[in-house]
Amino acid sequence: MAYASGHLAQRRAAGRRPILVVIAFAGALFFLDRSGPLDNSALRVGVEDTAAPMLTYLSMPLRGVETFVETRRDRARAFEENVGLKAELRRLQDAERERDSLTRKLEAMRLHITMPEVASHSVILARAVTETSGPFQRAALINTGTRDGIRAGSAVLSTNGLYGHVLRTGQRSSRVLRLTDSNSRVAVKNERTRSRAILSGDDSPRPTLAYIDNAETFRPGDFIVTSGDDGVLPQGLPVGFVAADGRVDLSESGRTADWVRIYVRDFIPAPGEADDSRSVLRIIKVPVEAEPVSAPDMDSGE
Amino acid sequence: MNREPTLLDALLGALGLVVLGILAPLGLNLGGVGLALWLLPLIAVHLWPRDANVGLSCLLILVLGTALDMALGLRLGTYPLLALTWYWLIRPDLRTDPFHELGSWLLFALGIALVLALIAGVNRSLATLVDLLPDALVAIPVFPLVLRAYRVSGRSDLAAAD
Repeated sequence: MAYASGHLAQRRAAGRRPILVVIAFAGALFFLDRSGPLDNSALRVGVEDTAAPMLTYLSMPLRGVETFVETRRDRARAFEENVGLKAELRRLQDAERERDSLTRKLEAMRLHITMPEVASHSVILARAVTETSGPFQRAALINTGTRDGIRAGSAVLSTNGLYGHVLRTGQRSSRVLRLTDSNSRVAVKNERTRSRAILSGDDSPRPTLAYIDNAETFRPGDFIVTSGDDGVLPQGLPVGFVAADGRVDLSESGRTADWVRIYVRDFIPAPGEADDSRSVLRIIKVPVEAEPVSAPDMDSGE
Repeated sequence: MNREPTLLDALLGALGLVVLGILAPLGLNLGGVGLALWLLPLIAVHLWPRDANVGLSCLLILVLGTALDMALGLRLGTYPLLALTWYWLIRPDLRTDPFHELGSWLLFALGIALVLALIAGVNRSLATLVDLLPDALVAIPVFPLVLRAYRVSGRSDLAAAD
């Protein structure tokens, strides 16, 4: 025991001097090296050049660990981002649907507003909410009724031409009988010859002409408009073209109508009564005389 | 039982310093937190062979510390001053049997804390202390691993107390 403690004391004393000498040397080195890490000495550059490739290889496992940790974090983040992106996608899809709906609405309104008027009638723009094209009925339901001034017999036009007439009305809705329905009878005339006839629906897409006053005056391609002789529909509304087989190719051509406009006689507007939320547009008292309607391009998309 | 100081043990200690010194310039970025390994060579100093020749040991620490300064981009003499001061305070040549792992580990952690406090004090910035804290949190857990590696390599002076 005494030997051990003596040995340690001897070691302590023997070791102190070299340690302090080297510490002093290191201190001197520290104070002498004023340039620090910015020093461009050949020694520093050499050490760094030697160390760089070695460190590159040595750091590879550490980069692997970093990549592993980062990948785990990315996966966790990706899950959260995916949830957020799905919500964003749903929101954008809703917005896109709404935008498309508004675009269609605007386009329909633009077409209706720019169409030439045929008489001093009040016009109501309405939406065809359902359209029935069963084997025994060709009819549509629109979202306006007596509250908006719609009356039975009012002419209903799509953007392409005469669509039908109002069969019956409710307070907020009306049933429209289309020209193709077998119960539809409309007084028409040949715009070229002024010859009269009755447009008779038969549940086919192309109605026939009946009670023609002069058959020779109807030729394929003649433009047919309403004559107004029935005392119900105003005259001059575009109907369609005479086909080779004597039937009429309707201007509205059986396409599903989205927006329609209704011509109402003696409509007295009630200011403040309009309810925009039901997508009803009132175009009140358009004092324009009937204008000849040019034959629409049957091949076009309109 | 202490043996007479040998040059071979000093070279063995230097080998440990070289191995951990090679890792010192490397950095690790885990989850946005940068971890530097520059404190690892101090483990080698802390576990320097007991029977190593003190003079040669100090000389080797000086040379390798200077090389570390260059590799780390420090002012020359910084790392040797740090490592030699550590060596002086620990005095591995005065270590007695048996080796107390936990006590040594706590001593190492305390030394690291003092180093950080010293650097923060020199810079007069608490932010420096916060910046260096992750580096300390790497070095301290690595200590037992290095100790195990030394034991496996046959360092009898580091034998556990049992």
